[in-house]
Amino acid sequence: MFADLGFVLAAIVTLAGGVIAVGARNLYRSVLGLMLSLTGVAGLFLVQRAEFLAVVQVLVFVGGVSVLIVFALILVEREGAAMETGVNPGLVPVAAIVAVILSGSVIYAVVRSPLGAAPPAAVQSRDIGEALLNRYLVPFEAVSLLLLAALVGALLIAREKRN
Amino acid sequence: MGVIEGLFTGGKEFVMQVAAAWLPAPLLVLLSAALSAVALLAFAAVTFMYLTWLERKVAGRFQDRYGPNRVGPFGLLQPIADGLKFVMKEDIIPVGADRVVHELAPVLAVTPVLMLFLVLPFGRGMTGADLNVGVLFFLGVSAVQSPVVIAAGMGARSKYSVLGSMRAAAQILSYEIPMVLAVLSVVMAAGTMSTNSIVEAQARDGWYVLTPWGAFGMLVFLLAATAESNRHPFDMAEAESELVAGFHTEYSGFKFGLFQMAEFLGGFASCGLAATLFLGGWLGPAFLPTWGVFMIKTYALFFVLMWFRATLPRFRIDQLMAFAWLLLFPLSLLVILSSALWHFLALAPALVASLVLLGGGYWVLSGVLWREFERSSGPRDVTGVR
Repeated sequence: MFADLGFVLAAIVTLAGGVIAVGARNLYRSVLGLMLSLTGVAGLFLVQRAEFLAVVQVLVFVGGVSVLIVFALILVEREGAAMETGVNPGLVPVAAIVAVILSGSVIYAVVRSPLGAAPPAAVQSRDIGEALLNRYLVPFEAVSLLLLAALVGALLIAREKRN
Repeated sequence: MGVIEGLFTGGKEFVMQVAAAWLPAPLLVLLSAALSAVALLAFAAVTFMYLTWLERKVAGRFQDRYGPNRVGPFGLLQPIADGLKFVMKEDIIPVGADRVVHELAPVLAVTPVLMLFLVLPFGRGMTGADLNVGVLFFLGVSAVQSPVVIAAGMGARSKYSVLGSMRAAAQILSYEIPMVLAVLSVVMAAGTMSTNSIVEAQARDGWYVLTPWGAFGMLVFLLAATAESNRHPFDMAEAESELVAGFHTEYSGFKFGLFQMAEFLGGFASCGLAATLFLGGWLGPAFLPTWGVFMIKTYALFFVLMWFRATLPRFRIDQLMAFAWLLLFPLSLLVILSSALWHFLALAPALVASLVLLGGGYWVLSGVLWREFERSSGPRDVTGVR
């Protein structure tokens, strides 16, 4: 009973945060909405008893990534110009196509997945560590290499601009 | 003796037994949670009140004066007078402010800090929620601070607030890394992330602060935690000689009080975690109740923070960042390495190896840091943009 209640609450928070993120006219409010949404996702993980994932979600996305987004906003902000979002009419069809593909694939995945099967046992951080460092070691390392490349690339671009 | 030891756990058990006769089982779960939560909240509020008093008394002693001594005996009623003053002050909202964000930020600052107390093991069987990822929970929840600080600064749309919040966020992000790495060394040694199990592992291994990596780890952790909670000498966010009051410049009255509460309780909770990770938590002599032992250790560490505040001058922002990246970050990596060596080698070679690693590392790194300080001394741009 409590788990269901928790799920509903976390889902409401996630969706409300998403709506704020997309709908807010002020960009800072958008980022705050995104943070709210990400916190809600952490709540969803918690309901599924994936405590490790929930905590990492907050640590990485709420505490790290969204702060970096705010830094990026401040760096590109012009003196006096309001940070406002708007609708670009030319891109509406493209957005519609992307939305249809995205929601279609999510719905397909949900329908295909064995819902209603036995609830998963609590995921131990030990299991995650072993999976990352044994079974999925190569993809894991590949992703970190990709991130490193992106990092160096971003640094390079930023430096060129400054000189 | 058993009575004092079981004052809190026994009290809760008693209430639960009485309630079991009256309430259905699902409500009992709620009651159990509510009892722990109310106890923690009351503890946090009272602790905050008397930490402000204690800090002013201690700072007064360090500076050869009395500190608060007018309201009540020894000034003991001062926090209550302060609280009344906070409530009665005018609530000012800047004209250009984003009202919703401005009003929400102080509440969002305090909530995660209160959640930190959930995973601290106050005594044997006295952890609010003994999560199997307890330590990570602590770090994750305290990481919420930086977006809140940014929200507070951005919401006010004032130059001082924005500059202060940028500094604070940069500082919190930078010091988070050595802090997490220092904690990681303990997690590796104990083989668990549950705060309670870490204390129990120290009953087996001895206090971690007594090993070379533990001593350095605790140093790194305590410094990083001080910076995380924006306390002196790392309180660049509110360097009043430069930024008025940093990210909470535009806050008055009770909302300012909430920020202060977050700062004090954040520092206190970090001391609690340091006591748990390195000083053996509630392990201590048998004639003291376990929660008493924990409190003594935590207050002793908090006294060190007050000592910092009373005696040290403030860092400059570029020195602050250099301190995190040139000294604490590499040192925390060495701490992890020597923690691993400690685990795999025999005592004597491990001792030699970690002393060479940590001592040599500290010598080299502090030399590098010193050269950076000397290079950057003299008048220069101190806005934090390099």
